[in-house]
Amino acid sequence: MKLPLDIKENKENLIEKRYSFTELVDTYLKRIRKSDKRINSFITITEKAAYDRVRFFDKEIVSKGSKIFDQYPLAGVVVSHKDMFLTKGIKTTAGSKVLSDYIPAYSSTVVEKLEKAGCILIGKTNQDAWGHGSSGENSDFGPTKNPWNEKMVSGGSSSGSAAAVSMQFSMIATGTDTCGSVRVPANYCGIVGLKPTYGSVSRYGVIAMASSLDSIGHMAKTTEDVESVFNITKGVDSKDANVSKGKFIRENNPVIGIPKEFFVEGLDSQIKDNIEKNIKLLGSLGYKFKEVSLPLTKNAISVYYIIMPAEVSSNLARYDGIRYGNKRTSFSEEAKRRIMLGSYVLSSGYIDKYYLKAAKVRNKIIKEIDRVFNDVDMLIAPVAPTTAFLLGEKSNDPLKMYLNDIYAATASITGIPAISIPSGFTKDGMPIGFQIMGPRFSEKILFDLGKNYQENTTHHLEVPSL
Amino acid sequence: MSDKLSQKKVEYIAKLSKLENSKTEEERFSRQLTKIIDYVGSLSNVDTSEVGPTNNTTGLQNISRKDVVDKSHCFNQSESLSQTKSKSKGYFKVEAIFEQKDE
Repeated sequence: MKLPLDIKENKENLIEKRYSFTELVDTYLKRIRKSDKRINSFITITEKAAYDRVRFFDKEIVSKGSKIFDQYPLAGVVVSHKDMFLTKGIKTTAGSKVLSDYIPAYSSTVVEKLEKAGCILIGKTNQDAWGHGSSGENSDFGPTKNPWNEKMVSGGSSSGSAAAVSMQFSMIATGTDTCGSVRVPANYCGIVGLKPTYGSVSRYGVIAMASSLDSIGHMAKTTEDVESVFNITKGVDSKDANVSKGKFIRENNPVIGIPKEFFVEGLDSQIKDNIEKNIKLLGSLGYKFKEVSLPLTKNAISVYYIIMPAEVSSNLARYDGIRYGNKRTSFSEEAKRRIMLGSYVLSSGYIDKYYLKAAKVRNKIIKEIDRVFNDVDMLIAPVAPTTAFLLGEKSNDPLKMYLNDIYAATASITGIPAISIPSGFTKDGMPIGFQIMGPRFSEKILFDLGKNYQENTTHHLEVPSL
Repeated sequence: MSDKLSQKKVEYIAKLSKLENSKTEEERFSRQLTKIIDYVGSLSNVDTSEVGPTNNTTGLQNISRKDVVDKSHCFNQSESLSQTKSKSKGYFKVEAIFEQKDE
């Protein structure tokens, strides 16, 4: 059987009985078995749980017909969760040997909400351990390969989730984005990735990395699907006091700002050309553009690499190997580097110079971003300085790897939403994309732009070969 | 002006972080962390005399709830102990912190 592109097509096919729920899972699992040895996108495949679930739906649809979609709006949507999301009774590793045999006694709110909406869990995906990485190479279970060229990285840290959606191993996937960890892999694998507004989706039961930055994100081939999933997962949760329901007033003719600082040296020329071409295309669809200046955002990456390790050192302090998991000697190199960097910037004699200074510069950048949204409704930017790079290319130089997050940092430290959308391919066939950011809680206008763009382009319809 | 993270300093922050490093790792971390600190230290060029620190991007504050136990997310004893590798009579077993000195 031919797999559906999106949630809408899947629903129609299931209602019209073009295939059963079981046949759908058969098809995804067949693809995984055929090609995931090569890609390494899954840490755990949840075959039994998936079949138990679809047997239930195959019975339900016989007795209730299309009405099951009233109760389960995402019935039959096959999902894979980043291994950062706790799943009750199913091994959850965060990509780290520290949690190599950890079986959670509860599920995260997002996992529960999606299950309740009818999603079928097919597996837990590979990732940079603890979310620490931009390439997927920091996984303690081996790197995820890029579906478009196995010599290339998949992007990280939600590497397996992005590769799984790209390869059609699952229809949608969850990720976490602390500084690009949804947007970068989505971009490198040619799919849509959303980092919503900080605090719009509950983080209860998701392993914490840097708590003032961590956002739950979603991935799919289409913006429409990302929107459908976000509409289920967002909203106040009594188990996460950090979630808020913000207000956003929509403008009718959105103006998109082009931050001039984002299109200077260091950006790959094929990406620059692609974005310029797409600005013209969006212009023909009625969007107005305006050059803006964000001089302070060049400091965002430095702010990030002080605040994040500080928070990492505190969040990873809980892994004592006593209550669950293995001893701290199981931490691999990148986690150790970040824990120590964090301990250093928080230590006596250095906290003012580094940590507090970064928190002040962060405040200045927040004010600069808030100001620019008085002038424009959205911002367009690259997602990363290059397309997917070679495995091993940056792994001996942590600073070089860190600078890969340079375009992701602004949305992360200011807490605004950002979506990365596939917008073409390089001469060598690697996916290119662009990023759209908006004011806090403005996801709706980002989705509208993404849907409008994808209705007029076909990049997202390309699937890498099995 | 740059702060060098000497191997000795790396040893110290590793101790603060409850991590163990080999000598080769200490040497490597010293080199890499110095380079990173040197890069992020560029923030000292930004004037922050008129702004305070923040980690709050949404402006949310003082979220409270009724002071009642929500049993939907409480563990019972066996759930709490389900993942430990070392337990005894319904307790977590940990290494001794204080040792008895024989007089």
